[in-house]
Amino acid sequence: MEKNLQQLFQETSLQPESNLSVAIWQHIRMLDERRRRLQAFFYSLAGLFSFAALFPVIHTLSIQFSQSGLSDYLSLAFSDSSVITTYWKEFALSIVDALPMTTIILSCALLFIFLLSVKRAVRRLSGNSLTALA
Amino acid sequence: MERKDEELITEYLAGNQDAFKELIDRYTNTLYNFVSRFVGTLYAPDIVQEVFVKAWRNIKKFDPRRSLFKTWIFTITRNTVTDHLRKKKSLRFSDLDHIDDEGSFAENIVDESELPDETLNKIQDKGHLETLLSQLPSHYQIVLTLYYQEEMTFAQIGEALGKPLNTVKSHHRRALSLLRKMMHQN
Repeated sequence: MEKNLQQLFQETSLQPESNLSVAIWQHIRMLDERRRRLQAFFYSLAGLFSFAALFPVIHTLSIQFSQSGLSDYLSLAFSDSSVITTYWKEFALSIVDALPMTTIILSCALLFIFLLSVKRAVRRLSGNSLTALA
Repeated sequence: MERKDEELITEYLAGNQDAFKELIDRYTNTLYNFVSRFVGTLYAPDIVQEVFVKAWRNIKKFDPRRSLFKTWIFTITRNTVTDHLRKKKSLRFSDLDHIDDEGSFAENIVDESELPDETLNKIQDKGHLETLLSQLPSHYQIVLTLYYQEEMTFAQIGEALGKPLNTVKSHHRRALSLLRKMMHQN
């Protein structure tokens, strides 16, 4: 009985137009292409902004470095290393204290965003893999 | 040898685009046939396309350890058809959500010979079966279609429809019983 029913159901199967699967595939490729372009645009924009922001941040960083007295600590390290070995903990803390940490973190974050954006934008502009975006 | 669906998905995720195309080729007819029974042939191509787009967008979420691709894509299909019918304010398909309390499986067991071969001979005509099927409640049509046409197991059907195994079995038996009654009436 089961086989008969199976056979009957197979015979009543409704068939689509022959090109339906091709049309679906083309539609998915089109959606993929559109999404890839949109993402490439977004990452390019993010890369551009982060790159532009890097200039004033690096400029500020160089000023803060020169004002921090870091060079004095370095010259002390070369002139009298015995002081550093004796008071290394205090010396390390002084250097950390003198460094413009906020600006350094900001610069690193911007650099990271820039490199990541460039990598992703290039991948989306050059690659043709649907899977990268799926 | 034909590759398994899950192998095709692995290949696709590894960068082989043709693997997904093969899945589309493999399931277009099956899904079209299933969808057409509920929304008609006019809307079926668009819905099948929507199903594949959803599958493509969510392919990374598919977990072959949890279910078969066939079950997964039928779940998407079922949800897409339900959405379509809700938009069109037709509740045929969503009737499925209100039929769990029809009684236990044990209470619904009917005679195995409810559709004997001689009775089946009466519906060898393709058009006749289609007419009879269209008169069945949609949740019965779904179970029969998936079981006999797509050759899915009751467990797979239950998973695809989000229904307990016993409910699916019960629907199957009730559907056969109804078919028998309709044939006697004709």
